Amino acid sequence: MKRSGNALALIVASAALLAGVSLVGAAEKSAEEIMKEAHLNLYYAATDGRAQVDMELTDKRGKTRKRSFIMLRLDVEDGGAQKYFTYFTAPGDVRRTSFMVWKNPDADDSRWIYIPALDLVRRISAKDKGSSFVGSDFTYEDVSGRHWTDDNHKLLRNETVEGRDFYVIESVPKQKDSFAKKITWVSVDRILPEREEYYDKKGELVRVFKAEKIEEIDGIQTVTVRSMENKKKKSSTTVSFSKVEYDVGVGDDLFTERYLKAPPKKYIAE
Amino acid sequence: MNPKRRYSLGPGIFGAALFFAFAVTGAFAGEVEWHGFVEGAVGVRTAEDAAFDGMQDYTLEETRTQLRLGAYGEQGEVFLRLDILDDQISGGGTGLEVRDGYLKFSTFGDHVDVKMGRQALTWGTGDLIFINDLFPKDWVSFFVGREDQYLKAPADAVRLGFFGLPFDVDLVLMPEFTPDRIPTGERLSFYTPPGTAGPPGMPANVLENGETAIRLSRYVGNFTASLYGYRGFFKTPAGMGTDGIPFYPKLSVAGASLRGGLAGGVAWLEGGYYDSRDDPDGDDPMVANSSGRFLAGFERQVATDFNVSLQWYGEWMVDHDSYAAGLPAGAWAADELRQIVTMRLEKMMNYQTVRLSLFTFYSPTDEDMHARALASYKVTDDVEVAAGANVFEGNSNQTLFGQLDGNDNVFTRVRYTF
Repeated sequence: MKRSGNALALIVASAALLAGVSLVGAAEKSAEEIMKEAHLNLYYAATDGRAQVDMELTDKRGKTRKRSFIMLRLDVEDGGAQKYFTYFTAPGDVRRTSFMVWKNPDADDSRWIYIPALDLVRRISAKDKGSSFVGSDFTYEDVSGRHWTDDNHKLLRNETVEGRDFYVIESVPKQKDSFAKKITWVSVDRILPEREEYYDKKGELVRVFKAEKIEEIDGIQTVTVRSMENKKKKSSTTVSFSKVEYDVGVGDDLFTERYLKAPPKKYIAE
Repeated sequence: MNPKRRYSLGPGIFGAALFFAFAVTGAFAGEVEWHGFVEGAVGVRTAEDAAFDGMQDYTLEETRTQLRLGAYGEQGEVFLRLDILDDQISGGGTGLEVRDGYLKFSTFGDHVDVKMGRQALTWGTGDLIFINDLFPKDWVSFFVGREDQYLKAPADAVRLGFFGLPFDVDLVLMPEFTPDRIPTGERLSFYTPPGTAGPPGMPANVLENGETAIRLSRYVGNFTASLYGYRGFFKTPAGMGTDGIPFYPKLSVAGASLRGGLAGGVAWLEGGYYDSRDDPDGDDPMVANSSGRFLAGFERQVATDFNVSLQWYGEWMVDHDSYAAGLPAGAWAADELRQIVTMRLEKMMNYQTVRLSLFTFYSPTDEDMHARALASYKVTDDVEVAAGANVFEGNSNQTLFGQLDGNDNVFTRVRYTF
C-alpha cells in the first residue's frame, strides 16, 4: 500500500490552522461519524438484503474447505437491532441446517440453530461475539458488524492509495476485547471500510480484512468479495457474495422458529 | 419390539404421504436434489458381562448408506431419507429403513403448516433429558455410539402447525403407538424382572391407541415459553401383567418449559406431570406410578469454542408410600425423589474441524452413572472420522444405567458425505 497521506494531512492541518477553520468539508466529520457512516453503509444497506454466500477457508497447510449459504438480513432499526437468517447449502453434512441471529447492539445477541435430522430447534449461547463463524477467520462480529460505539475512534491521517483517498482511523475497544487496536481505511468516495488491521495487545498484527471487490447493486456500493487473513494462524478466508438483492421485502415473521425449520422457497432458492 | 414394525407403513399415513408426494412431484419439476453419506462403524464391548459369555463381543459392526432425496417447490416439499443398512450384529436391522418420508406444505392462507408421513419429531428444552418430548427414541443407537441423530427414532405422524395466534400451536397425531427402541439383548444386556414371561406386548393397533401430542409456544421477552400435553402410553414397558408379559401402561402428560438467554448463557426450566392412567392410586407395584418431573439447566461458553452445560433433573413419585407398601419384602425400591445431574463439556479446535465432547449422567439416588466421550475430526469437508466410548456404572441392575453396567463399549466411525 502506497502511503502519501502524512504529507497531505500535514498540509490540510496547516491550511486549516492558517484559515482558522476547516477548509475541507469532509474533514469536518469526526472519526466517530466516519466510522458510523461506514458501518451503516456496510451492514445496514437498504432495509433488508439477500445474498448467496460462498466461503473458502484456507488453513496454514494450504488445505481448503468450503461453506455455502443463503443469507437474509432485516434491519429493525438503522444502526440498531437486526435479524439475520442463514440457510446452509454446502457442505453436505450441514445442508438444510439453518441459523438465526437477533442482533442486539446493547446486549447479548440471541442465536438459534435448526438441525434437520433431529427436527431440533435450539437456542444457543451467544456470549462470545469474537468466536469464529463456522470455523472461518471471520468472527460472528465480523459477519454482522461491530457497533461503532464499542470503540473510541481517532482519525490518524488521510491517505491516498492507488489514487483514491482514505481516512485512516484508529479504534480502541472501550472494554477489554479480542483485539487491542484496529486501524481502518475508510474510502472517502464510498465511505466503506476497505481495509482493516487488527492488532493484539503486544502491538502485533493479527488479522487483516480487505474489501476485494466492490460493485454497485441497486445503487448501493456493495462489497461482493471480502477476505480475512489471520497472520498468526497463517490462514485466510475469502467470502464471495452473489445474487445480491436489496429491499426484497423480507418479513419480520421469517425470523421465527417456524421458518427456521421451513424457510420459504422464495428466499432460499440457490 | 417386533422388528417387522420398522417396515410397516403405519396406518396408511406414510403411504398416503408418498402417494401425494408422487402426485404433486410434477409441481416441483427441476427442483429435485439428492445427497447422503456412506458410513462404516465398529464398536466393541470392553467390560466383562456374564450375560454375553460366549456371545458376540461387538456392539456395533455396520455399514450404512443414507440417501436423502428432496423436491422443493412453492407449494411445498417432499422429502425422503432412506438408510440402507448392512448390520453384522445378529438380530440387527440389516435392510432398508425409511427414516423420513413426508410431504410438507402450508395451507389456510399460510396459517397452517402440514407435515405428514414418517418424520423425526423433537421438542422440549433438555439436553439428552426428555420430559415433554415423548416422541420415539432409539436408546440402543444412543448407547452403542451411533451418531446423535439416531437417538430419534422415526414416527408415522401428521404434524400440524397453527400460526398467527398469540402463540404457535403444534399438534402431532400418531395413529399408531411407537415405543422407544430399548435393549433387547442382541448387543446390550438389560435387566429382566423375575417372572417375566416374554417380550413386551403392544397395545392393540386401533385408532384409540394412537398418540397425541400438543405444544403451545411463544416468545416472552428473551425466553421461549411453552405448554405441552401428551396422551398415549409410557414409551418403555413400565408395566407387567399378571401373565408375566410386560406392557406399555397408559400415560398422559401435562407440562411447561422456558428457555432463553440469561447471564451470558442459555438457561432452561421444564416440568411435567406424568399421569399413569393404569395405576391411578399408585398401589400396583407392577405398573409405574404417576410422577412429577422437573429439569433445570444452564449452558455457557467459558472460553473460545468451549461450552459447558449443567442440568439437574428430579423425578418425584406421587404415591411413593403406596408403591413401597405394595413391594415384596426386601425388594429394591426406587427413591421418592429420583435425581440425575448431567454435565456436558464441548470443545472445538483446529478451525472447528475437531470436536471433543464429554457428557456425563450421574444419579445420586440411583447410585449409577453413564459417561459418553466422543472425539471427531472432519478430515475434509466430506470425510469425518470419530471415536468414542460409553461407560456405565451402577450398584443395582434395576436402575437405568446400573442395568447397563457390563455394556461399556468403545467405537469408531468413518463417514463420507456426498
